[in-house]
Amino acid sequence: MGTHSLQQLTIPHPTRVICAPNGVPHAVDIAGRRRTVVAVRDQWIAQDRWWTDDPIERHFYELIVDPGRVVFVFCELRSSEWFLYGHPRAAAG
Amino acid sequence: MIIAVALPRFSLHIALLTHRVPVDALAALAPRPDAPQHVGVCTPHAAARGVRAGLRVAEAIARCPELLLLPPDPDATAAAHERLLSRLEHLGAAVVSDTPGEACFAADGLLRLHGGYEVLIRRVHAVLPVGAMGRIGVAPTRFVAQQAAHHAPTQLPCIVTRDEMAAFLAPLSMHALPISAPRAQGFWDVGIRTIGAVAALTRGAALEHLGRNELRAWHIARGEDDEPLLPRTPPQPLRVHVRFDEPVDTLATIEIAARILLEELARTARTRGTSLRGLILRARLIGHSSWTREIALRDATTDVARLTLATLPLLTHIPAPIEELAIDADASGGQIAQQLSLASLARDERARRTHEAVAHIRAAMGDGAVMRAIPLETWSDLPERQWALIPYSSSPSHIPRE
Repeated sequence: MGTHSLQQLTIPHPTRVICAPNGVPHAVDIAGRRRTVVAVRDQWIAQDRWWTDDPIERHFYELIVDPGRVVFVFCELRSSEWFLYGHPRAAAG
Repeated sequence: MIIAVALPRFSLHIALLTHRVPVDALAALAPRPDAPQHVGVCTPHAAARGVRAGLRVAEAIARCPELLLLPPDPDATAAAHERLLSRLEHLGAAVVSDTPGEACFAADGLLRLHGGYEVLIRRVHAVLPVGAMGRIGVAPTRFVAQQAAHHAPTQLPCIVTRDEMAAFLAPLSMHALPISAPRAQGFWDVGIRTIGAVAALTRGAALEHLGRNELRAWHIARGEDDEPLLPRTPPQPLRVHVRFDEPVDTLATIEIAARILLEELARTARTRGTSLRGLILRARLIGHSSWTREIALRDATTDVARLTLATLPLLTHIPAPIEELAIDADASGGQIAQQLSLASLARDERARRTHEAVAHIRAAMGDGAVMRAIPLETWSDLPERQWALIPYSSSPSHIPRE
């Protein structure tokens, strides 16, 4: 008999983000190319699963990157690692 | 003759294996979260320190501060029990079993097949799990065989002939008899403590103590248990399961997973030309524990709506976040007669075409080519928890109505 798995629709992938001195993303590496951030459309902090041994604390950014594509990135505040939503090639447009 | 096998402290043994705790540890089964806080079966070492099943948790820990309380794993226990029965059935035995870790069967039809009692008992011993200290009893009646198994040494079978039955049963506690607690208390109050004392009663006295409904216990005590064994029909198991990347505690998510599994079960049963008689829901909880519920269906069916109706309400009883949800089904039901409709509705036609299209795409590009996005926790701040993909099913519940 079969085994099923619910597959995630949006999967975060590790990425490299260069930040300005004030901590706001300045450029994002997408599929090996550096894309300059044109504007920050939104940003928020999410805290979840704080009742478990593996709490989640993320700073999300909704960015417009050169040449005009919208991408979602977040910084894992506990490890200071950056992640990009969606497949990097798809995000590269 | 009846052969009975008994694996003492079966559920505790499974819990020890699950938690990788040595069998000589000071350990006992912990109570379930939704049950009275009494400890369950304990190891002999814990029993030597004064712990016994049914003791309140606080008192058990007071008697034995090093006591390790292991959460019971009914899921693994049921799976191990089913493996035991299946192995016995592979020997040709028609097995009867009411309790996990115990089983019995009539040996008469197997003697020729295996070449006598000695070989048969050796083969039964070989199918018992290694290290589980399985015991074997042989006697003319089921009750005596079961008691013989409980009192047998680990390596040797306890064989009780018809002539020895009265002497064997006489010193055993009357609590072993199948009588209700008030009746047992009644016996205790008048000083009847052993099966021998019960057997010595006249029929009239036994009727007065036990009533007509429980008079069978008196017959059993006298070795007159002539009730035929009613062996089970070996199940035709189907199993589907879904594993979650991280523990899930949202009922909506668990229900969606259950629906997917039920559709898969019903589809497979229909393909085999059978229907589902019963379901066993199993959830693997965080912390190496598990949750199990059994559902007996009134009629064998492959109707997803009926299966869903019977299953989903039980999911609310899952006590903790789950890592895996599985549904075992007994697909030993007959083929369900399908009543065909005279009129073909447009919706049915659309469903048929969709089903055909999906089948074509899957044949060309694989099962993962057609997926369906479903909302999970749309209120979550984390985008990856808001939506999920499941294999697209063209069954009626997924087709939009007109």
